Amino acid sequence: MRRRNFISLSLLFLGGSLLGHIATKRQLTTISAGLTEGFTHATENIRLDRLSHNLLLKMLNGQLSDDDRIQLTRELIVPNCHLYIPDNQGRHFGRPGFFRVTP
Amino acid sequence: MTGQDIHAGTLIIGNGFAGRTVAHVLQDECLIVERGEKFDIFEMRQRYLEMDQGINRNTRLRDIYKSRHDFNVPEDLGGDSSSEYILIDGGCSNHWGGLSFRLSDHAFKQSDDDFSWPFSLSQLRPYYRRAEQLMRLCADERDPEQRNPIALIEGAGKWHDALAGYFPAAYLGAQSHNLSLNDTSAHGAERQGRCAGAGECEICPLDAKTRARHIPSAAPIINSTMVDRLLFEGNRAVKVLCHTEHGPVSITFDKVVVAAHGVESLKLLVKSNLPPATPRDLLGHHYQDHAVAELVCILPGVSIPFFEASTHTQVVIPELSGVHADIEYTTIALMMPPHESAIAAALDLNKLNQWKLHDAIMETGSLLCLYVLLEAPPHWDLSMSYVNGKFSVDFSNYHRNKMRYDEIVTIIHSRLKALGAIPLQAIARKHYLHKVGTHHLVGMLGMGHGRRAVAGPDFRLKGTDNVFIAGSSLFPRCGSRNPTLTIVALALMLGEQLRGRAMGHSAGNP
Repeated sequence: MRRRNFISLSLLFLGGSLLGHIATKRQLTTISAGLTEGFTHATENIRLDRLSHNLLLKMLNGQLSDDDRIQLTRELIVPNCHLYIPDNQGRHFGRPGFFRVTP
Repeated sequence: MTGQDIHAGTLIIGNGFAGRTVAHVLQDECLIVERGEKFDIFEMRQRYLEMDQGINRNTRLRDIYKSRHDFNVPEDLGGDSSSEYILIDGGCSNHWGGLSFRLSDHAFKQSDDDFSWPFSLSQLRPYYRRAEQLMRLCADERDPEQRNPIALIEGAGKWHDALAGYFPAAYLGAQSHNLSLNDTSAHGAERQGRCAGAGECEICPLDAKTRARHIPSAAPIINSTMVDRLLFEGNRAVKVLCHTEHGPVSITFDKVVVAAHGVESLKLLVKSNLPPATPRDLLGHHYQDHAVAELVCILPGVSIPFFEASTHTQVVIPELSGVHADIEYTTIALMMPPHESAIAAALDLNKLNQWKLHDAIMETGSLLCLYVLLEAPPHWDLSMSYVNGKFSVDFSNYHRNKMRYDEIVTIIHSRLKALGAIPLQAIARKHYLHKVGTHHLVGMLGMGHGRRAVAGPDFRLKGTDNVFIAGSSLFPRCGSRNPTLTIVALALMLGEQLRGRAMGHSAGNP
């Protein structure tokens, strides 16, 4: 009886996992399709390597919310501030040249 | 060096900007006594760099100024104050200072005689012009105060262009630098004043900051000697009693200039056997300082040229400055990107959710962080006292009045909207609600003709024959401007008067 229950539960778990896997795969397929359609183009020249998977997934699904603002600042805005501050990576707090005039 | 073994014609207490500048005018006719050790910026910086980097930066900065002498401990101004001061050769401007305003017309145009300057702004202007050379100012050519700088700030045009659509009168605040570049190009001389720009001016790696020691003076200086009190015979001070690491010392003199920092000048006067005609009860009253509000706005369509200047300064915005309810305020913009919470608040989530990442990121380059310097005016009467060896500050009148600053913040937000900018009102930081102070300790020994004045128009402590005051404690009214340049200008005026050759005007003369 116990063995039968164990086998039944195991089959149920495996079935659930399989369904979950299929669902995730479908989602990823959808995301992947989205990426190919526009996201790659939209993020051209933008550093996303600091962006966490969680934020990336939210962004891909258009679900960023107010709770994500600080994390977005740290992981997306700051790493990309070179877009509006020339030579940003060449300057660090406490080193000469922090303030300068560029041609 | 023990006992009564030193005599000076003119004794100057304090080798900060005030005392040093008086000595500059008097040349070798005086002696400076300074409680602080000699200051070596490179040694300080090394000590700072060797500290545990995990410790808060401000704490590390404070620690490098700790004296080895037990008698060199600054007073704690209490939990209501964010101001502090240091006791080191060269004074507080070793750490603070740099942004070099003249005081405003409003500070000089007083209807209340109690806090009126004893001379006009135009009478002070020749001294300002000399002070600006002594402090080696670099300034924006658009500066409305008719400066007399050694150099022009490079990069100012980029800021003018960027802000023109919103703040056409904005200009870069004048800064003091001691650097001279050995540049042989056509603009070589004018390029003096370039800042290393480390953003750590207090311990500048190139010593680019003008310090009191850059004011030339041939006067001898005795360091590590703290004047405890003056000794009077009648109305005349005849001697100072000093602490040194080797024991007590006394110095006699013909006249004395007290320039020991506002708090310490107050203390040594309170400890002294002042003449009866000196208004002892007014010492320490009408202390002025600045409170701060930190605001953020978006300037749509503007790409702000962060860091783009040859000096570490701030942008003065006349459109957001003024006077309200007899409180002067000056708004300055930082030349660096705003803090994290400001950026976070300004993010356009719709654009990010629509994958318009480039647009959303570039918009954060339109954020400007504003500091509003708010005057704590003399008629609020914040007061300092030193009783039975205990120093304290009464801030009760500040807390009674500070809500007036809310009206000023509202005015600034309204002006921003009227100019087409977008104020981020939700993240305004009203520091003034909790504390007052930007290290500008001003007015405790005010000068003037008024009933509340402690020093006369001739800088002389009332009731005395030969005691003169120098420094920001003299200001009857400071307004919302940083005081260092005015300290130097006044010290030039005092020096001239002590030499008996004032510059052709009568105001302020004995």
